Amino acid sequence: MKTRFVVLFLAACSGSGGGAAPDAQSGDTFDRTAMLANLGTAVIVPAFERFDTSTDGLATEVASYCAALGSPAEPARRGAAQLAWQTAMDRWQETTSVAVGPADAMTLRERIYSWPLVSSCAVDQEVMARATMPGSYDISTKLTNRRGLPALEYLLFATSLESTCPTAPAGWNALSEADRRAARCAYAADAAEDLATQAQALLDGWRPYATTLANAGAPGNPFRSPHEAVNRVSDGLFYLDTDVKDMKIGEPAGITQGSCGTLGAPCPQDLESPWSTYSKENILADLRSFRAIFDGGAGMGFDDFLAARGAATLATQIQTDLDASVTAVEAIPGNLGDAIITAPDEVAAAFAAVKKVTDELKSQFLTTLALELPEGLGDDGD
Amino acid sequence: MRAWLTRPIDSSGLRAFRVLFGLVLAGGAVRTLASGWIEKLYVEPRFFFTYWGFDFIHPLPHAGMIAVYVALAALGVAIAAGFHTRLAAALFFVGFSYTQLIDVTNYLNHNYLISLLALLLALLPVNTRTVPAWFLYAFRLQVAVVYIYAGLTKLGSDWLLHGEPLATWLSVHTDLPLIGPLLDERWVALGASWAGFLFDTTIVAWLLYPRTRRIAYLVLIGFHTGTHLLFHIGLFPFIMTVAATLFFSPDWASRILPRKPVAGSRQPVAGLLFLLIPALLTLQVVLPLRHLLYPGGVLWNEEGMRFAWKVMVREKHGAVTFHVTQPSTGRTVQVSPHRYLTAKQEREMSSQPDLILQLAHHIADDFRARGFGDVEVRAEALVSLNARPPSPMIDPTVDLAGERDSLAPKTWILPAPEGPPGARP
Repeated sequence: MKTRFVVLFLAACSGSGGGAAPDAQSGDTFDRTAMLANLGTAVIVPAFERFDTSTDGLATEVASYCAALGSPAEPARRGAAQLAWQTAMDRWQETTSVAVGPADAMTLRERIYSWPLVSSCAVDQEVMARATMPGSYDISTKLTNRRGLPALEYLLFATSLESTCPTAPAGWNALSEADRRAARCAYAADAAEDLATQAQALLDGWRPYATTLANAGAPGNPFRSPHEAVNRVSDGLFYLDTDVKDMKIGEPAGITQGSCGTLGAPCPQDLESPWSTYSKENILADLRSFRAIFDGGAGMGFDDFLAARGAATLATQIQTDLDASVTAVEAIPGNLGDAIITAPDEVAAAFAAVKKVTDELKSQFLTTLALELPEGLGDDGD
Repeated sequence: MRAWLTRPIDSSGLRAFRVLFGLVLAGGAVRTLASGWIEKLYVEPRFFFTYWGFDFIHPLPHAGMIAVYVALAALGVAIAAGFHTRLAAALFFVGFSYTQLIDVTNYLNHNYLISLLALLLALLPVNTRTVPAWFLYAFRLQVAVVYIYAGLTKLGSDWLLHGEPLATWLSVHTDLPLIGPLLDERWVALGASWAGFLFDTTIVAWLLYPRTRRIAYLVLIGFHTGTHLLFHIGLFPFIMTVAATLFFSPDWASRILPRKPVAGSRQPVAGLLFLLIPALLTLQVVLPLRHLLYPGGVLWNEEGMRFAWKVMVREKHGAVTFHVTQPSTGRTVQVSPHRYLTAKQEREMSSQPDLILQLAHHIADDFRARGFGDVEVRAEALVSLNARPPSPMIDPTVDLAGERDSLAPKTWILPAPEGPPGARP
């Protein structure tokens, strides 16, 4: 009896234990390393490549727009620059479910997209500062809320040439409309070039990082195990909860508490892209980003991981609910800024649809895959 | 009986435990200082979950908490060195308990055990050459309570029939060399679950029986080494490995430790301690059973979960959303916990009803302070226990702002989900 107990027990001590959920097939060991390799090389790096390309296009279009100022081509060039911004924004939002990697370590994320820390007034001040000393002005030294995609949105889409500051920057009101337009365009050109530089740096950082991800658990690798790396990758999926659901939909709609200090009332100042009225499209791109990481594109993703853990039904449910979220967001009439006033039920339906996904994410997804919430690693437990 | 309990025995075993325990305490405090946890646990949170009756306890500023842990490390060394042991242990007990009482989400069974063992060291003088036998038995009973209740709590179908949550946890390590592929096998999880159950419930007996003591301790070392390598359970394996030496012969360390009693120590006086210690130990035996007074399963309703040695028996995650309603306008807003909590706090709160209640009260207070007047707060909590499909845990119709926390059963906790763990919808 004692010997049998000891043998059984030592088997437990040596780490022998099961992994499959009760309804899983035995021996369905999931290759986390292959999943990480796929996500890094086939999903994430290509997404940053597309973003990098889009920022090059944006810089080109902004330069063309500036060159066309005062000419008959100006409206068309401005429209092309706006379209290029929307494309760059789409490509960026398609990476929002990536929370791991060099974007955070190098603070590149904030330099590219500092939302919700944005300030059109701060951009106005920089526009005037650049106009005052164009030769020595260096945008790369400026705070993140004056650069990147949010600054470009304001510069390319704002129709008024009045300053948004309570008191206009010194000298602004003395400028002619043409000079103001030129000053903003010159700053936009700088911002677009800077954005392209940051996008290239991000891509340059991610190309080797994909290898780091694929080698998780190897000696010298920052991840102690592939599972830890998978957990870090999964952190990005929670952007859908904290940022997309709560901040991008809930706060402007008054479903969650926003910055207006009101209860249950719309809060338009919390809209993500108010100048371009592109907030709804941002959300759709966020959902595409989630889907890419969850599905792993054509390769292995979290859906395969769930299936290997005997939870294929949950994987399918999340995918189905994700489809429903896309449908619900697309069903919001017009732009989100108008819809929070005129179509609150449709916005609430979109919120509820996304919440269904995030509820699944925060409960059974985590327990089934033995994952932790973002920033939850490293604690003791018992 | 009294003569048997008070007969003098060699104290070397207890003193050896004191040395090892003190070193573990010091190491644990240094580890906390080095890991950056002080900022994470005491500085970053904007809200702290309090224990009933201890809501006056608050964290010190960052530098103050660092000072507390530096002091705890020094006190651990003092305990190990036998330098004013009882005073050092008493101060450690107070200081360490303070750090643990700041936020319920920091609760760990082994931290509770640390406090209890420090308290025993503070109350019972162990530095004399001999001590009354019951001193050693008091320590033994405390450690035995941990093992046996940790075993008994595994006496359920999730653990013994389905191998959960061990199966889920072990599957994390399938990349390990040699044994990795085995860790995704269900039969292995079941075997490990049974082995763990048998270990916890019987190891004390094996250790007490002289003929099996040696092999039992080797097995114990293997068990705790395994749990240390596989799970993030902090000091637990070290404490239990050290504490198990209490089951050795009382004089097992007499060849290692100096025979002379440490200077300044005095012969113990029974008196009040002879009543106090049994009372404390009786409480230790009774307290873990209090969950039997509550309807439903303790792994779901968590009523009687803490201070009961329910070690590593559940994997639980929840998605909680609070719905705040202003009765005067009928307007409602949804509030996500992350607006108030760190990720670690949110994880703990999301599966523990009493913490959900505390946060609901805090949200109500916050809205009141911001000028919204009295508000109603309801919770929508979907919780997955041991990989089951998520089920609602809190009655979404109940205004939690109007519910008071007490020891009475919480009627607004919904029944636990039925069906085996990991069952798919």
